[in-house]
Amino acid sequence: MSFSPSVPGPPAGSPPAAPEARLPLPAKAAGVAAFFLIPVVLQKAGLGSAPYWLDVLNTVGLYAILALSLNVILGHAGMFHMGHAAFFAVGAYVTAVLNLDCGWPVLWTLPAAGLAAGLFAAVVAGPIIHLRGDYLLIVTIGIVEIIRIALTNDVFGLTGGPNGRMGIARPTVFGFRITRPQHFFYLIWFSVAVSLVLFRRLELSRFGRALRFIKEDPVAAEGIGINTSRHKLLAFVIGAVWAGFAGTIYAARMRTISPDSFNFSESVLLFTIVILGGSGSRRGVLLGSFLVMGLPELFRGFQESRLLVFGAALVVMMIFRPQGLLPPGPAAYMLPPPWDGAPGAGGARNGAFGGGADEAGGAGGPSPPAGGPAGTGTSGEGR
Amino acid sequence: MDFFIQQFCNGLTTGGIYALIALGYTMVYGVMKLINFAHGELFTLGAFLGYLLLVTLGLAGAVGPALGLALSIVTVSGLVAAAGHLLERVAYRPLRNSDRLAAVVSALGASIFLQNAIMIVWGSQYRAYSARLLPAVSLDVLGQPIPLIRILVFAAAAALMLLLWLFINRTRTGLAIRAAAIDQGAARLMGIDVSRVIAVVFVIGPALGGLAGLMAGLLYGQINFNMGQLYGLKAFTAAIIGGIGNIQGAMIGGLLLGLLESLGAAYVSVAWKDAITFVVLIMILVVRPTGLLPERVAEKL
Amino acid sequence: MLLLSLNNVTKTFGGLVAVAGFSAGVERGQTVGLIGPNGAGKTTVFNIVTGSIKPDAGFVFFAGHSISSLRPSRIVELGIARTFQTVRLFPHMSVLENVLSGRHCRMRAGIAAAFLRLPEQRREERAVLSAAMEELDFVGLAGKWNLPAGALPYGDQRRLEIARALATEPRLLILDEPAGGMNDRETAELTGLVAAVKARDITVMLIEHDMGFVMKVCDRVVVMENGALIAEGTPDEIRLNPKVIEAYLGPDEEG
Repeated sequence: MSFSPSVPGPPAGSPPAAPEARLPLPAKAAGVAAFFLIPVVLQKAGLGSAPYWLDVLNTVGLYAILALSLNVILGHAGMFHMGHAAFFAVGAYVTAVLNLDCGWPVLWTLPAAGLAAGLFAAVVAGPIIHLRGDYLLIVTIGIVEIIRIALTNDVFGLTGGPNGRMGIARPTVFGFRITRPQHFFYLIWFSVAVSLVLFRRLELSRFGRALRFIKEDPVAAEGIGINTSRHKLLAFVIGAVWAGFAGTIYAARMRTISPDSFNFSESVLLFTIVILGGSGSRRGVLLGSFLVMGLPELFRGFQESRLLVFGAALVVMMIFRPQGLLPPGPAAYMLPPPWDGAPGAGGARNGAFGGGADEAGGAGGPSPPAGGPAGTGTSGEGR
Repeated sequence: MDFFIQQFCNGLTTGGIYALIALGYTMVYGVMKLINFAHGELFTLGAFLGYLLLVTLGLAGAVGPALGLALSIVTVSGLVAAAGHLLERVAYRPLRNSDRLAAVVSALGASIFLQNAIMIVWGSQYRAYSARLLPAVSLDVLGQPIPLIRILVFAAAAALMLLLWLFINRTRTGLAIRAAAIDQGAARLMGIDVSRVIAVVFVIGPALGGLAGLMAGLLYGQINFNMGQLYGLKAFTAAIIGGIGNIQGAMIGGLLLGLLESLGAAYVSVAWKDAITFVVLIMILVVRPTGLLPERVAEKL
Repeated sequence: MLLLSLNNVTKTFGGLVAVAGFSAGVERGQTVGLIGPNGAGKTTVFNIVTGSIKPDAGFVFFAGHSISSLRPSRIVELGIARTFQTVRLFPHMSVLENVLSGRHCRMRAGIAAAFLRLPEQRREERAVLSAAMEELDFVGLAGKWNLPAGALPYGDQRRLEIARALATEPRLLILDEPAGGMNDRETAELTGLVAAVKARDITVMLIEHDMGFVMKVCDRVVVMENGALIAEGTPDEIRLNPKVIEAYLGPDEEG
């Protein structure tokens, strides 16, 4: 049977996706505040295993950042990318080298790590961007392997061979050294929050829309004036830069990095997080991170068969719910006057598609409820 | 020159194994336009089933090496073929009318599942195929002593490829497969049962892959649960070199890749041996995705 | 002043010559119809003009630029927009978003502006929503702005495609069989729509098989057969042209 060329999505003919339930702002703020109080609570409770659980949350958070960056490439632009660990590796190794060989403080290496990863992506993605889905997948797997081999072979004498580099310094923020899990918790989850906000802005922008058009029908997108090649390349670069940043945090947290941390399995985990959680949806990706990285910790016996379960889950998902657990909802727009009188334009939730918007639309949103001139512009989409 | 002959023969043997695996990829792709990511794991399965029979159960010791080998060949190919059939039913058939990319993800999931299933059953340590299975003699080839095992493996691979070639080109089922590969819709209109064609392809391909696994175990003496990943990628490269969907191409591509790797490792660098393959893969896909063989040939199965 | 001109354009697919030394021009403000029997090469010509296909020989000039080697998105930026023979919308996205895709090439906000949420980016987003709704209003779909595009009836989908193309602010609008599959009422509405597009000083070039529509809407008609130009002129001239009649009906056996 030949397959139709579009991306995985709800089966044709199914009713349009229901608009996402959106929590009112106060509830969200309370939830976020509660989350950030977890380390404090755990410490007060005197739980012996608190560092362990914080560590788990830190891993979830780090993978969330990585998965959000992959989401731009895979979820939004729809490019099948199994080589994300390569960008992660570039960032981590650049940090290691700058810190160990050049004495740079760890956090100062962030821009360099991101830049290096971005440049690497620009060079590597350029020739392969036009490849069809399954071929692109294979090629990205090949790239990850080449990187791993290069790292193992101590290329340029900087990567330290199979043992990698050791002794990376701890990050310091205004003189405060970040050493323990509870410190890293704040660093990592603050980064997650920043990533969530920034990526949401990207989603709602011209660039984010262009990626969605490209994912849905690249020929139509090109035909309506969107330079698909450039956008796909930029998506790769943005995803890579972010993965590079994550690499810096990882290097600082682990203090030792080696080629084995950046192998094909890592890419598989990230890929699974995005696809299972809901490609194109920040909420979905966040959920995916908790499920894929956090759930196995709850079931210790599950640990070894973790990948086994995820492999099966991917198959099952594609058969029953290819769009993922929490797919992105349709974008909601608040129409400016004089259009705010159009059906569904201003606030009532009607129409097949969950009409207009809710309140200001969450973090970073500017304005009072729809209707007035100030309350216009694009608002929330799938988080 | 002696060294060259040695490496050349090594390359042919490895190439034969790559070719057998590549055939599985290319046949499935030709008919379904799908890259069966789980194929590498079927190769691994073949290796481990062979291990189970020959080492754990001591088949060779029980009935003698020749009979033991023969029984293993039959059993391994049968079991892996069954696994391939099951794979198709579970992971691919339900998605026949879905997006191609959903099928790709499903293939990936199946691959991950299989690889880890093998790891859970047999552990993550390397397993050794005992050396006593075959006499450790060497035959003289062009003045160089080549281990018997290498010659046998190459001969077996060549024989299998010949059999397959005859099957594809001289039988009705083979004709049906070729027709379905060119145009599934037209084939169906001609009365060809495409479902049966797919089933056949998912039996033969895995069988060959499984046998390749058995051969790899015998040849290299060591197997590991994730060997299928590397071999699979390389065999896929071989299939691409010959033009994906092209059976002769897969055979030639496999042998070529084996030679390239062997000679490359010997004359250029061992550490980067694997990377050579990936670089070749990427370059071909970017520059000439239809493969190195003339385009006309690359079109048909 | 020729807005679009094709000079000796040739395109071969395998052994088949789809377009053979085709030359034609479109003047600003005109509505030109491209007609001919099936297989004459009309859609191939459109695909060459819009950049999806590169000609084997010959040149295409648009507003002073040579466009035969440019990619389709660049050609849209220069001012040519098209609709497709089989509607090619973004079915899972809303009607409004489909039109927004047309505004993309006329927007300037980049990635940095998006991340920083600069005031000009926000202003541009608001302006773009207005512009998109105006185009929807122009084709009569404003009320359905929030429906998924795939859920629209066929006639509405065709109109949406036109709205999307208009959102790119084209100087030349190319319509590939816009009346395909339409009944009389819809065709009459379409005639009105094309007239309204013309009133916006947009040049239109279209392929159509509905002769009544072509005669009513076009200022000039170009006729193709077997990849070559066989006649051109006003609709009345073409209607009586013996070569055209022969192309459609076959040679006159008595002649």
